[in-house]
Amino acid sequence: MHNHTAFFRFVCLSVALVFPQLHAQEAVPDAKELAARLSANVLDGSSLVRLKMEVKKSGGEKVTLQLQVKARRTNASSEVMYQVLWPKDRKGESFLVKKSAGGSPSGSVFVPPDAVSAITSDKMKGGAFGSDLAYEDLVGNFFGWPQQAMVGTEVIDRVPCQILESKPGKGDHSSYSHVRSWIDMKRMVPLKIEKYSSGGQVVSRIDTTRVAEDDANRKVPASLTLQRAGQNSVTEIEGSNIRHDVSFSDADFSVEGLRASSASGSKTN
Amino acid sequence: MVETVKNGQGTLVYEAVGLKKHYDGGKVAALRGVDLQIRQGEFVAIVGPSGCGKSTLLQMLGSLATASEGVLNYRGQSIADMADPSEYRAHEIGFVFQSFHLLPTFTVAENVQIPMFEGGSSRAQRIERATELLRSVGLEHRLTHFPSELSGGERQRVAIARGLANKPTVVLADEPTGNLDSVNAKQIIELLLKLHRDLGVTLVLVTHDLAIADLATRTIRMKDGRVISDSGVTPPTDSP
Amino acid sequence: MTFFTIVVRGLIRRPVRTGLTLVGISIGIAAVVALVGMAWGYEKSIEKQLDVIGVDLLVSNMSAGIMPKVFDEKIQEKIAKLPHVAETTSVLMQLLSIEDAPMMMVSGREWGGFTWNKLKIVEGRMPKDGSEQAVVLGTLAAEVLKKKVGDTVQVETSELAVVGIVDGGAVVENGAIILPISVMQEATGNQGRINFVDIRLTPNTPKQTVEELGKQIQVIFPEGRARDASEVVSANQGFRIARAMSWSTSLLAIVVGVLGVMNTMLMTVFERTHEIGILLAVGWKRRRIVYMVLCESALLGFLGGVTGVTLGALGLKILEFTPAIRGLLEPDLSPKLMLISVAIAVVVGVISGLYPAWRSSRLSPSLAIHG
Repeated sequence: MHNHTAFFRFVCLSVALVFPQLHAQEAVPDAKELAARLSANVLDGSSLVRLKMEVKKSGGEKVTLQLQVKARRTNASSEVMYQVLWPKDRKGESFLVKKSAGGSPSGSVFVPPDAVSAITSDKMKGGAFGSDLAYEDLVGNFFGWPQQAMVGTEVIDRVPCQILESKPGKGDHSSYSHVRSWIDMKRMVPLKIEKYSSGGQVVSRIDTTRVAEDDANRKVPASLTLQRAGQNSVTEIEGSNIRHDVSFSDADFSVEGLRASSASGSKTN
Repeated sequence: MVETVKNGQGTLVYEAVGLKKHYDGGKVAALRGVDLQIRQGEFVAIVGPSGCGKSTLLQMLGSLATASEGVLNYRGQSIADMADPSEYRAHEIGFVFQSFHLLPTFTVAENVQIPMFEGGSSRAQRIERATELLRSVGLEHRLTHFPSELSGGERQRVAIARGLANKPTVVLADEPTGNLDSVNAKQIIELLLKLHRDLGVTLVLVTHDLAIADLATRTIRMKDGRVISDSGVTPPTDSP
Repeated sequence: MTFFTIVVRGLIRRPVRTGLTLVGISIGIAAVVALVGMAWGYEKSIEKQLDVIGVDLLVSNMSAGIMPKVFDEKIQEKIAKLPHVAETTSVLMQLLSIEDAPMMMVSGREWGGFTWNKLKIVEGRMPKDGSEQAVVLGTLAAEVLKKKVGDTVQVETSELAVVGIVDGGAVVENGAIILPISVMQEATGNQGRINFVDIRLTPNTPKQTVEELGKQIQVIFPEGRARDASEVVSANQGFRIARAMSWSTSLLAIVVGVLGVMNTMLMTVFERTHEIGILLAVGWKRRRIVYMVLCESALLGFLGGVTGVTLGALGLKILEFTPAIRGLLEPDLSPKLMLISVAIAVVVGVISGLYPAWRSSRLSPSLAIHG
């Protein structure tokens, strides 16, 4: 049985070596179509996610946070709420980011017992909870931008990827000039994302370190490494659980909602 | 029990026709065509100089060697065609060798018992028979000794007792006195003669000692792989 | 004198060589006993975990991922009504990211179910009831999380009090966070859902009935599967590696043993050409000679096996009580292993005797006597 598989793999490999053209030609996807599929994956409706975030400063200092994320992403709007579960002394710290289609992002940060501050547009590029995760990235969906193009292929961690380049339209209110994503076509998952400034520099880079299957049997990036230009830190995000089709009320995604869930010990449903 | 045999009488035991044996792909010939008949109860001495083929002939009679050409029958059956020659060696014949060929790690009594494993006898029966045989060769006081503790004559007597273990009808002796001094040699020959007389076994003895050959009922002389004379006539034996 | 006497004489005529061969086989067999004993010990410790909690069958839906999928807890009630099911208990067990520790097993167990019974309190107490917002930690889990009784631990959305440290009798149990199932369901947002039903069968349920039961469970719970607790153990990757390694090393030891015995027996046969010739001349059948040589090598194997088992058992005992290893290793020195090892030694003896025996049976009696 085992030999069988090994032999089959050997044959496939040989064929791939002999007919590399054939192999490559087969998979040139349409950029628009691909972006649309990926966009549909991002706009996955309501979801409840548990993740661990580790921020490693270059000095060796490390901050670990256990977080709960509530999100509601549709074509019309995106709302995301992050809340700290652990460590104890930061428990209840949370933030909310919203963006409607064609609008610019807005949000608030809540620190217990009762400090609320708005996330101004200049802070949108900043790191949430002191990490390398930008608030605006949570609600932006570059796969939904009007200009999409295939710009090449590259192998990442032995997985052949198509490189998709996305450029925002006028109404997208993005601070990036363009975004490149390396898509594993088999699993439909980006393995690497680079976001560029108008000067052509890489501002932000995201690497997928683990892909897992979610509750709807879709492949999703489960662990990520985030880096931002000009920042001496690396943020690792490790997702441990995701659940879709959770019923949230509008109040969940309001400043009142931040307060309430912090007070209630962050219970859901 | 005693069968006095004249030449041409008694049941035919061995019959050889044109028996040849060569080694090394035919280069060395040990036997160059031997015709021979031996009957039940005979005492045959085969004599001749070393290398005349007498030992080879004896080994063939004992199925220890096979003929290159010719026919050798035992009681009408071809030895070469026997399905299991070990059966024949175990029950029909007893061997006595010049250098005794006792097993050094076994006692005298045990050495005599060795052939009996092919006889299907019980342990008690084996011990009883071995003791009886060793008594008959005068070694009842040596049962638990090892061969190395015995004199040459005693060893050969053990070998004779072993040869008789399964009550054979033929005893094949290859220079049984060759390694013994004259006193012991005489005793061994007397023992063999006694067995021949008392048990009526057919005795085929290879020797270069003419004095011993004279005691036989028949003497066959060999040279260069051939029989050059066969006394044919049996001298009178001391029948009771 | 019996045939066996002859066989024994064959060996003691060369005491030094026989002795050295025995040493060779013994070392090989000792290695087999020690390595396989360790692997089996490992297996037993996993089995013990299941045995400790008294599980015969596990029902789960293993269709995706490392941990089985959750399902409705009502399935448990239906399974409980099936014949031969003595007791059931539900479990919601998940690998969770706890605080800053790596992924950890968190096991929510039906309050009052039999899976609680065998936990031994090392420190503190058990939860008061099935709804207390509390956990007990396996000794290893407590170490990893650096928690003591009185601390709290964040399990998903719930902050729970650590009320006790427990010894579960097996590594898997000791590495887990254990809590009442309702508290676990609440913390993970899995109200009304479980992912294991552990079944205890009525005593002496025949294997066939167990299979039948598996089919009935399939009807109640089509996505799920009832697995024998022992099946779960044998599917364990770590165990499989340990077993493969111990057997392959043992195989090497056995090959060395075979060569040793074969060498000795070949030497014996060559040396005893003359003796074998005599045996053939006095009428021994070739079959008997073959049998004699095989018996000698089997006896050599047997003696080597017995010595080897003794040595191996002794070695394991010494290892077990070596300070560095103490407590980690739980070797299995069952009579079964000892019997198997001796049997292997005998088989090794017989196999190594085959060629020499064949050689001996091919000897020509006349050449053997004169040569």
